[in-house]
Amino acid sequence: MNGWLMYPPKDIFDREAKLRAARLMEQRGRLQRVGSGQNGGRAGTLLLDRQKLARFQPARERVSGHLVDGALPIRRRRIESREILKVEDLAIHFGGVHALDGVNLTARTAEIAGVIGPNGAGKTTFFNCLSGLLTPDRGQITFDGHKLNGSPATRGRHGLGRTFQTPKLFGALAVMDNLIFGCRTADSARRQYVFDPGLRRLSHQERAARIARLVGYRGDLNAPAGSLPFGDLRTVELARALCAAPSLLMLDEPASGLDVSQAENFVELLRTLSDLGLSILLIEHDMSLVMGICDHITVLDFGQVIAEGTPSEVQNNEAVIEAYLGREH
Amino acid sequence: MTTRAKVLRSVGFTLLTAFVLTMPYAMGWAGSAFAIDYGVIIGMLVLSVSVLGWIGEISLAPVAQMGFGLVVVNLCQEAGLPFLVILPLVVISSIPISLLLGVFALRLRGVYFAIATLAFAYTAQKTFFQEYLGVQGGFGGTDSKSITRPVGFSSSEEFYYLLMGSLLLMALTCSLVNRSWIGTSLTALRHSEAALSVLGHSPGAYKLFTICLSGAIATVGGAYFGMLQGLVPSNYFQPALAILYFGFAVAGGLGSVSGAVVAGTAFGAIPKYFDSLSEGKLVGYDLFFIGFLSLGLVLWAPGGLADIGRRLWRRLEGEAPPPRAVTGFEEIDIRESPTAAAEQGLATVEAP
Repeated sequence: MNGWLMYPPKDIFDREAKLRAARLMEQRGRLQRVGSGQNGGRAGTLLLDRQKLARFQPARERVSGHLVDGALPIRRRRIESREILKVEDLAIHFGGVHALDGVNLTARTAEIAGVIGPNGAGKTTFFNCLSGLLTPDRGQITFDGHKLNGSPATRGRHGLGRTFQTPKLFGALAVMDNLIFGCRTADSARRQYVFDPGLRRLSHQERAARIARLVGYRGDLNAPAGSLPFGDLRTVELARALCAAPSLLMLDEPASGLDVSQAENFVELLRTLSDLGLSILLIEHDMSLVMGICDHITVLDFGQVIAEGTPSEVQNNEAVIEAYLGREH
Repeated sequence: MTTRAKVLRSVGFTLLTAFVLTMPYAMGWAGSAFAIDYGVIIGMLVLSVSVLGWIGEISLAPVAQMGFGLVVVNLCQEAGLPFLVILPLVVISSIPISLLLGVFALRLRGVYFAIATLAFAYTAQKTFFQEYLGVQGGFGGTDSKSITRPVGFSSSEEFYYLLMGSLLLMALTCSLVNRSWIGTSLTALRHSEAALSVLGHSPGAYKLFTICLSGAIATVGGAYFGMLQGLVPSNYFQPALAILYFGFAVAGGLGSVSGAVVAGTAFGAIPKYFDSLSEGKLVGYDLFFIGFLSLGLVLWAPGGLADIGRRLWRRLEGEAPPPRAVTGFEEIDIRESPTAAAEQGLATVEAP
């Protein structure tokens, strides 16, 4: 049962199975039910795994002078937090479905912002609009003080990095080649690595190898990316995004498919990257993880922002509880 | 590399070079050198189609691009330009047409792009080519003029060496591009255009480059076709022929440079030799055999001639042959086809 929240049932609409598992964990004292009532909402729960939350929350204070690898010469710096992304009145519809309807969101440097919501709330659509893969019907996106326009490639070169819900590595290419794609962008766009400015001085290979170690990839850098196990696909995709020297990193369910120790390392890595100045925007279904590491959370439902605030504010928000768990009959 | 492999490579290279150099004469028993000249030009066409496989697209416009090459040669020869000036001009002239097709490629994908290129080819054939080339042949209607071969290459045997040299140069260029960072980027593009673009790389630029490369090969092929035939009516540029050339490219191994060259040349020349050997009694059956052979290749060797050659070569070198390719590109998404990935040693598949 331990891995239930990490590996949700394939059929996300199988609420009965999820509820049975949740009740069992609750009986064993593992889960903390936020709100009350029958699960009348759509797929997704606001059940927090206390043990996991306890593991993730201290990460904020625990990070010290080194990263996951321990051997990396990155030192923490105090970064002034400033607004890097401002989304105003973003809207897009597909036929009669309003996937996003007047979404506002702000992200700051050196902070982790979370975007949560039930399935179909519009989270990935929101990321696609930000990265330019979809063109919104209306709304304005301001990134790093400038209006964000142009193709996904242009946005990538301006420092908007992202990963995908299903890792999209270039499977026929070696892990190293995948990472070098990011390094080439960083060089051609003359971007500085927010989390370690010294990386720019290294060759592509050295830089890629260091970032791979940074995210916790221990495998062969010359292995075909298509041959990697799922957890490594996630970490290598994260490394590839970091290689492009983003200012804002958008992660779409980055912890799904990771085992417990990988998830712990991952949380620690995100906090450290954030402390070093990187702005992170996160979509994640694992509530314990989101509540444990995010500084600010925006909750979407049916394409609209129904709540925003700190993790504790969001946890106690009635609209959020209703969206996730449904009202008691 | 083992000593056996080195010896085999040296012997293979020597035999291949000897065969290529003597082909017009060595095949004299089967027919005139015109057949192999024709085959080499079809090899160029098939190469241009196969190159487009690098971006995962199918274009049915190469035949139209070929026609434009022929028209440019005619104009240049009328202006009295020498061959060494004409050839670069033909390459340059292919760029605007390729960019026009590139606009389709930036907006359309897959079958929609193929249909758009087919529509372009039909439009060009029914308007420009029929107007310019005439239906019966020649340039400018009744005031027909032929396209002449370059000085020193007037016989079919001599012309063969110019054609084969050009084809090998094209193949070398394509191989170098494929092995460069551009080739790596094209592989990435085929895997995930979205991932490549959010990383800051423009898929459009890579697509345009590939379409221009393919267009240049087809246009030069058309120029040589004009020189080979002399008088070319517009109905030589039936867009449906592009489907046949695409079939040749698949039989050679889509995306494979060597496979396209071999399949195009062989499938282009064999029907001509066939007609010659049968003294015209079996004209038309050549297509039946070509179709049958292509069908067999697609069914039993989806990787095409390139994959068969690779496996055969590995056996000759005494190494274990690579697993049979599932597609011309030998790229498998392990999440979509774990069994195939396991066959290639890319993943392990657990028993259910």
